Amino acid sequence: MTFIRKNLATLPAWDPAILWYARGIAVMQQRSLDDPTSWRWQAAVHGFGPGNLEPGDPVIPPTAEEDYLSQCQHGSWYFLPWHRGYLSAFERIVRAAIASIGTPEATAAAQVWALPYWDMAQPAWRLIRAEFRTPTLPDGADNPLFVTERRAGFETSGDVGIAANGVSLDQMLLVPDFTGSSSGGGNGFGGAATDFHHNPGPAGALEAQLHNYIHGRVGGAGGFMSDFDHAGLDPLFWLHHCNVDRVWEVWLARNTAHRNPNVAKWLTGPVDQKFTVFDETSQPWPFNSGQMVDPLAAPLDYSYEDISDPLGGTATPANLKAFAESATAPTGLKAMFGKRRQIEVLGANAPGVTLGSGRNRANLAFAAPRKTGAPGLKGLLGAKPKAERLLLNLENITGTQRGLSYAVYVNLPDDGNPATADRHFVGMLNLFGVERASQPDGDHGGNGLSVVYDVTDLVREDGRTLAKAGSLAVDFVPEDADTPDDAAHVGRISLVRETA
Amino acid sequence: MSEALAALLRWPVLAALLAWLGLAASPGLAGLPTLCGSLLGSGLAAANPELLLALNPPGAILLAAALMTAAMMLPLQLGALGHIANRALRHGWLAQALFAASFTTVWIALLVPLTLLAWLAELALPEALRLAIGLVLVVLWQERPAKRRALGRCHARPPLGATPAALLRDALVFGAAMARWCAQASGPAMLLCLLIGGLPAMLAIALLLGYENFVSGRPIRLSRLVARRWFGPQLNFDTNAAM
Repeated sequence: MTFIRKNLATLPAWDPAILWYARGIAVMQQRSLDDPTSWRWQAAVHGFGPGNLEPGDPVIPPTAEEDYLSQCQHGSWYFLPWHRGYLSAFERIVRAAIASIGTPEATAAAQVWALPYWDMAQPAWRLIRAEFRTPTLPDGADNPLFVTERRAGFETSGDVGIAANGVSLDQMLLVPDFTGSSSGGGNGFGGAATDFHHNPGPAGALEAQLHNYIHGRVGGAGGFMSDFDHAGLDPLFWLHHCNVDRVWEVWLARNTAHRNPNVAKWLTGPVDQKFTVFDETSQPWPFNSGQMVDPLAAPLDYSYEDISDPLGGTATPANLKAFAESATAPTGLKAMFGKRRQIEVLGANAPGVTLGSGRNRANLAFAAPRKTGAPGLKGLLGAKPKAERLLLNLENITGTQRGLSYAVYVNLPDDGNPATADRHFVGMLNLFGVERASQPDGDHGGNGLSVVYDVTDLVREDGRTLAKAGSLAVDFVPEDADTPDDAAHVGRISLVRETA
Repeated sequence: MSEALAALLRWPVLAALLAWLGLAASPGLAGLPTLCGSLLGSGLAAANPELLLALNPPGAILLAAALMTAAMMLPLQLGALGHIANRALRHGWLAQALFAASFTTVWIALLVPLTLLAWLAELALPEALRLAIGLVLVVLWQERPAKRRALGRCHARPPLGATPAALLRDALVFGAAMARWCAQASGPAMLLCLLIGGLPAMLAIALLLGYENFVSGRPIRLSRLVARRWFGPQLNFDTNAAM
């Protein structure tokens, strides 16, 4: 049977999809931490640390912790498939929890219940719904959908300051390739090729933008959602990730050139540690990316109410087509000597910029491209690139403050006109995970976050291939007026030209 | 397969292959020490330090340490070297060379005392005991949080300067820092390598270090291997404890 995941925003108040979600969670919350179908275990699968333990908790054996907890994949091309498997197991566990209530109503509800998704397409949809801000259920019982650990002020109107340009899908849906680069090239829709990667890193467009932004906006400086280890304790987390998963389907459906990776490393990896979560029967359920590509296949068994294209079929820009995953990959000797892509750093600002409470600017001079030929051997033989994109790389972003986001602009004039600002807006810099990524003793040496924006249209003159030197001004404007000084630091800003 | 072959064409891998060839050919090269070789373990050399030094002049020790670094450690720096190459506006090759030079220099400075330590162990301890001590040292170190932290630092990719001078300076510093963390992460394993001696041991340890660096990202730990082998993935925790 295919379960239908519906749009949370269009459901009536206390729709069964919401009410039974609450009741299912209530059942799970009664279970002990060491029960893998418990609410806290499910959150711990995403992230787990000493801060997650409460007095009287059972001991989790270290090997079980290593194998099953703190598994979330971020800064990786496994971000989307891992979260899909995680979400599916959770959905089945909630469904079983609803059924376990045992009443005829619960049994009937469990037959059709599926996670709703939290779409942000319209302004009213960006408010946290009343059901998630009310301490009690309609029958007067405690409401497990209500948690206080969210951005301050959410209780009254549900407004946590989610801005339209923070949740816009326009840019990410135009990204032609799934697999990103960790070396300065495009970040792809799905992220860079990695092995098991439970830490922030160079994230794909969907993760870096919509995903990270909502984590930060809902969680704020001290809430659950802005912290890896606690995010899953907010019921909104699951509905947000359901929407992220839906956008993956939207991206695939809107253009036949958009494809998932078709390489063994993605389909069957990671090599070192396989993905395993527990299912509704408390049995380990191992999965890989290859099993996550079709939501209709068992045991996923779901589809979305709406995966229509919000861009109305807007074509992929001509300069990006050759970057698509479906572009013919070279084989044999061509793969050895004929690189598909090449990057060239045109300019960099290595002191970077400290991000504080006001508008923060960094200037960057860039040179004219020197690698004018196509990548690899064919370029040496005189061929020209088929495609070009100009990428603004923000690297080594470090900080300790959670829940921050900055609007990033290139060459923003000071005319105060919002329409002008929109034209110069390149993306939202979301610092979800920055405090973890900045720890020198972490698994990645405190590299910080990395973000890539396509700024081709803002840098090229008259839409033509870049041929001249120039300069950029990069502005960072904090989303929140109360953003502290020295909130974060961008270690290096560079303009990279990638050709294919 | 061709992509894997393409990866082998990168210069650090080629340099490592040459170093392996150099080490394999070392017994036939005049003056090369028997680093990781069988002669160190001979009773004649062990009983006579002067003979040992005569067989292993300082220059040869340095050369062997350089070859060992190039063979075992340089391939581990593919990511770091790629980081430099992909961020250099100009002089990327020179920056990589400076990184490699400072990395190798620090490693040589560390390998020399390790070699002397291995010699002392040769002189003072029976073979079985010194190998046991080396093995226990490695096993214990692999379990330590400090090992994991050092391995994490081996994946650090700092911001690199935008101007040529700043880039070259940063590459030098980066190489030395990576050598330091790499040595902290794998120093005991390198000592064990010196104690065991022989190319097969070097190769085996190099592969294990490569697995840690490129695949796992976490230390290979005996406790984890034993727990998984003997107790299975679920161990003893009751999955239905509260149901």
